[in-house]
Amino acid sequence: MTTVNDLPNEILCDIFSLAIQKSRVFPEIFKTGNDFQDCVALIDISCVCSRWREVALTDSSLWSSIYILLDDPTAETLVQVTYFASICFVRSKDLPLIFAISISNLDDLPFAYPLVQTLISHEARWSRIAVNLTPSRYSRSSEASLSYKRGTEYIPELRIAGGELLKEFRCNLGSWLTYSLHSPLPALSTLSLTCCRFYGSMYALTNWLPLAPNLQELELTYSYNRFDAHTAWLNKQRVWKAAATEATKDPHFVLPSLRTLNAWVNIIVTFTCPALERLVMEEISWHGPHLINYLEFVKRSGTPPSFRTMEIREQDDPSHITHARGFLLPTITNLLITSPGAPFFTMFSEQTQEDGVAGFSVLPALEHLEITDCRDDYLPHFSSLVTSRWDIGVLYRTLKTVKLKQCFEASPVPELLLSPPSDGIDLTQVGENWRGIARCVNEGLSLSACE
Amino acid sequence: MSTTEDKTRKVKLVTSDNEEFEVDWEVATRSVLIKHMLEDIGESEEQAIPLPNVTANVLKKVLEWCEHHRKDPEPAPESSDDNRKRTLEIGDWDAKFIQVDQEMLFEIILAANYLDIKALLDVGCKTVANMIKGKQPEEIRKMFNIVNDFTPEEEAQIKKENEWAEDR
Repeated sequence: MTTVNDLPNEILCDIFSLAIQKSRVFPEIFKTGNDFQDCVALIDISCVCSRWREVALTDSSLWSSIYILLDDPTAETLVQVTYFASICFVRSKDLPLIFAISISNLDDLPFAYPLVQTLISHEARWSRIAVNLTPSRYSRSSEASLSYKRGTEYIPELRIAGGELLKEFRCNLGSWLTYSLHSPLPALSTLSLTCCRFYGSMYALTNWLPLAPNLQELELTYSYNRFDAHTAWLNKQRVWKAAATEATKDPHFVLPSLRTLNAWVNIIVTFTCPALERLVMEEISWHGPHLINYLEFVKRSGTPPSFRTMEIREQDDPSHITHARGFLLPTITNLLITSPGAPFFTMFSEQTQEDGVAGFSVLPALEHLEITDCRDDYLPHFSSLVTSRWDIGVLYRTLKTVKLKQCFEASPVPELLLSPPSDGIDLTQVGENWRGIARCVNEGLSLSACE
Repeated sequence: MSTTEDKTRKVKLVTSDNEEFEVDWEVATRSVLIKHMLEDIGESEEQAIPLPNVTANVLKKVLEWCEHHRKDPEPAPESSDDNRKRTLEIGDWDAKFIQVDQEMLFEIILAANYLDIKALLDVGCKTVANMIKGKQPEEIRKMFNIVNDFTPEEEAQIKKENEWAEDR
């Protein structure tokens, strides 16, 4: 009788690799929804019998992609995870490492020190690394709150960061890291850091960017939780002082291969990005000084601007709408916006008439509009915007697609509009609030929606 | 590249239990092993290809797969990134085809490996991977009739390594 034990080792390895296949795809750990079931699957496989264990342990590639996602772990769990990670590092031999760890609701940062230390002790093999540590709202134990005071603070220092192997690095505690990097990082294509102070960001940029000429995606976002506060406190007296001095010298970074940029608007003035395709504004205040920085960045990066896509994720005060117009360059064709207010809908609907040519005063070349998280009471505004952009006439029309994400909970997009019949939508079957858009769909507008 | 002449040609295959199968050249050459053997023997149509590692009942099943996939394009050469992008998805026809008992499943995998039919091997491996996925070691042992041969010391070591993942 032929059994699983008759399969040769290389086939067993292939089966094991398939059984843990999710861990071969770098997880998006900064988004929720992942688990570490594949890690557990690998553990389970290696516990079946001595042959399976031997086969699993011999294939170092099974152990070189590790991701661990924990919520609300105890200090003891983190000790055990560190032990497991160190075993994986040994078993992966000399292969490049893909390692992602996300710990949420962590009571105390020192609980994670051993794990981070273990990870950094293998930094020469880093290929794709992501570290995401977020604090619990309150420390629950007095033991935890005492640990900062013992003089055992750990400040991670990157010396190699994978060198030629590093392709991607993400860390949400950018203010914690210090650097003595010297080797080039030619393969680094994605860098994502969350920092909490301007000088912390400048310190990180001056250490990473000169070594990464082929960077394609840069994300530099802001956070200020108690871990950020603590790590910033550790570093501001030490390494950031030098960055503060450097910052007064008007630092400048040329990023020739950058395609996507997401950075504070008060920092983008330091970049030149001639190949940029997508500009993301994680959090924007439509203030005059920010507009000046932005326009300086645009001018430096080249005219006309190379980027056609703008994504606005969070905006504070929509009353500065005049300045917002300045950000929305006429060359932009794709706009992705979260929680737009009434002033935005009005602004995007404004028509112009120049030399007998009909158009729009803001984003005249808009082709793709994507709206996330729009309240129900803005549905009439949305309808008005889409129909005005559509009804301008075939000759002047630019709008082609509209995508809605988590919008209009009480009046969701009718299914009929999302999958229109081949002979067109019967408009009498559509509620009044969606009828205008249904007509546009009948005439060729592509509309999609997702939760 | 196959010629029109190749496509009308018949190939004789002889199994380990001495059963002879006559199949279309296009079907037989889904197997890289058979393809190379045919290239080696040249135009001799009468010469049968011996397959000493495959029994008739398994070859019959393998040929059923080859017949269904006779028009499939040649698989692309593997790149280092391919392994990372593989999924556990199996096409509808293949999923139905591979609904066999465990013995036949492992026989098909071994035959696909021997005959060098990568796509069929992939279907077999994915099927076993799907059977393993999400199961505890004891469930895997029971499913495949595997004996737990760890010593108590080894058991203790394994437990120590994996404590953090318990109850998850």
